[in-house]
Amino acid sequence: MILILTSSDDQSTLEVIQWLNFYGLAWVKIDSSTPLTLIELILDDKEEEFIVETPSGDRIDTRKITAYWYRRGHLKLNLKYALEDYLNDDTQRQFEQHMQAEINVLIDSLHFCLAKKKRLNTFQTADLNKHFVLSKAKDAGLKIPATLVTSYKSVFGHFELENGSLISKAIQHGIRFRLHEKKGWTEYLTYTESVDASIVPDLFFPTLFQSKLDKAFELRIFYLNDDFYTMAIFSQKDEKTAVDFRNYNFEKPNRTIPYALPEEIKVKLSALMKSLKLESGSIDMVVTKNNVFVFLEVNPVGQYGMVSNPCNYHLDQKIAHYLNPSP
Amino acid sequence: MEQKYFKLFANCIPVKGASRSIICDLQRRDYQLIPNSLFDLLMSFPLFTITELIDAYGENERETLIEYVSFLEEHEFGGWLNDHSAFQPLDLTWFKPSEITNSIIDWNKDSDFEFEPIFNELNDLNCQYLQLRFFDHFKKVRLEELLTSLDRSSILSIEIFFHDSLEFTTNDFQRLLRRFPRITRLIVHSAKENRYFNDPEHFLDLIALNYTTQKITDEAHCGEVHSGYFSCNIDHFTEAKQFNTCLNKKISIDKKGQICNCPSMTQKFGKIGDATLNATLINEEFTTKWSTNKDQIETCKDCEFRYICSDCRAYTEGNLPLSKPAKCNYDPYKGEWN
Repeated sequence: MILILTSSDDQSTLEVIQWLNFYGLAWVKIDSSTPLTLIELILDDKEEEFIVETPSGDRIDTRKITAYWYRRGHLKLNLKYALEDYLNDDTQRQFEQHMQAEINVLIDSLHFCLAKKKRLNTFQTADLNKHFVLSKAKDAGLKIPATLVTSYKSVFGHFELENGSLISKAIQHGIRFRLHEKKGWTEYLTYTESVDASIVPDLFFPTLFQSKLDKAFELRIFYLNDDFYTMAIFSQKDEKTAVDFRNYNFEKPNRTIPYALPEEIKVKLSALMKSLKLESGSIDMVVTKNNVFVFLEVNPVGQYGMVSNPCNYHLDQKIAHYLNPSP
Repeated sequence: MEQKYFKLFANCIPVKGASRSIICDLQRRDYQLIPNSLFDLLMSFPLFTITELIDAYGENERETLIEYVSFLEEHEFGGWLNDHSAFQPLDLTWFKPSEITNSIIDWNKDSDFEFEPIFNELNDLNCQYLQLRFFDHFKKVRLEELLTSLDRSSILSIEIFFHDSLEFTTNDFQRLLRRFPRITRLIVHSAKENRYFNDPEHFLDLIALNYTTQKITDEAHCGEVHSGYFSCNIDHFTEAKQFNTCLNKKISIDKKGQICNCPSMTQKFGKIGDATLNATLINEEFTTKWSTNKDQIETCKDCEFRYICSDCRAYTEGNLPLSKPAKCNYDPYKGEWN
């Protein structure tokens, strides 16, 4: 039995499941909106396993799990407890917070248990600290952009003198927010942006700056167990996408074509992914006009369909192959 | 700095025809006509600099060559690259996790088969596209029952040809489209007038309700081939390279309940109920038609549109298995639509 943990709206999960069905492989899918009831979690000399029950009464016993795909999302456990009603509100709140904290640790334990299976990623590695990842990339011998976090204009100015034009981006996550406008809800996302030094105030919220790379093109690489599926994105020609290709131009989309990574870069990326304990992930790089490969980040739960479809890489099928217990 | 060479992008693929060629832009889903001389140039020079071209074709051709290159640049069919060997060709394989990807079921008032068992079989085969063609009036309650039974099936997209009926107002049809998001096209035939509705309340504003005065009372309306049916994308292109773009992984039920590749084809494979879809798939006579690709079909094999075009094996010129579709009026030798 193959276990898939995912979010309920993920298209890629459905595509992989079609291949699992085609190969006649048994699977079970849990998504973040499914509250599970814990039947047992056992840890002894012989085994580390658990059994949970879904709302429809199906039992998932990890002893029967041959492979585990952490696609995205998280496990959700039913909270069941009754507090004595003589407790005052304040004490009740303290108890509730405590119970929730205990449950969160318990959920962590389940994730640890799943991580011991033959697996494609884990919950623990779903959201890696970007600073940590850049540091590991540097250790693996990859070039990274000079990166500064500061609140002070003077520090920023000094860094700009040394590194030329800068971009700013989120320290960890961009924000996605929705505004109610005349036409209904409009979604806004923040992108990596060029920095206009003239409008930087003396003191500001800690902000991450990186040297602006002179891009020839960008790379989006899907890594799967030491195999690389790379797409080159020609985003630099279009003003809209020149700094961040995710600021899509839907009318005339950026050219996206298959690309073969140099062996030397593959070796370094493999080392990085192993040090991050990732079996798969979407890696972003930039190739500069001087042909220097610069590592930007890795997203363990990224949308790989945007690489698979334009390059005809059949990644859904390849993931299904990886999950097959007897390939 | 290395010398930069021009190279076509891997998803912009030239296809040569008898009198002219096209470049299929599989990413932007578009194509452009080009003269065969440009096609030949691109084959002879997979990488080039303008100087190299002028050296090869002569100074007299300079203007034409520069015009060709700026055409390629303007459409972003290629780029000037210094690291060209890393830009690999596109993988042109086609495969799908389904025994059957598409199906047609025809119905008229004399039909005596049940839909649901067929739906169940199609679901087991992981069929994704279904076309239902009702040649006569069909009851509203029954239609809703049928569509409800597909709610949790493998079918992702349902196209319906429906006989106009007093039982359905435009509102009813639109409600149907909203209730059953799997319906991607609803064509109401034998209507009083040609009308077209976009439903602003539907979550996909592409989904349209189409009334046509055309009377679709049997399968003979099918098999037309023209440029409106072209699909220039990776999925279609790669399938067309290997397989028949109409019949591949298709199974149909005609109005008499007979299993067939397509209802318009005369060869039948037994009546549903007596025979199963699954058993039919073992029959090589049934599946062999799947691999009749355009490169094997007379005239089509010389046509520049062969990998973006649809096909028809039921109505062919002179009724021959490998002649061009009878309902195609393009002549690739003259480059003209008749």
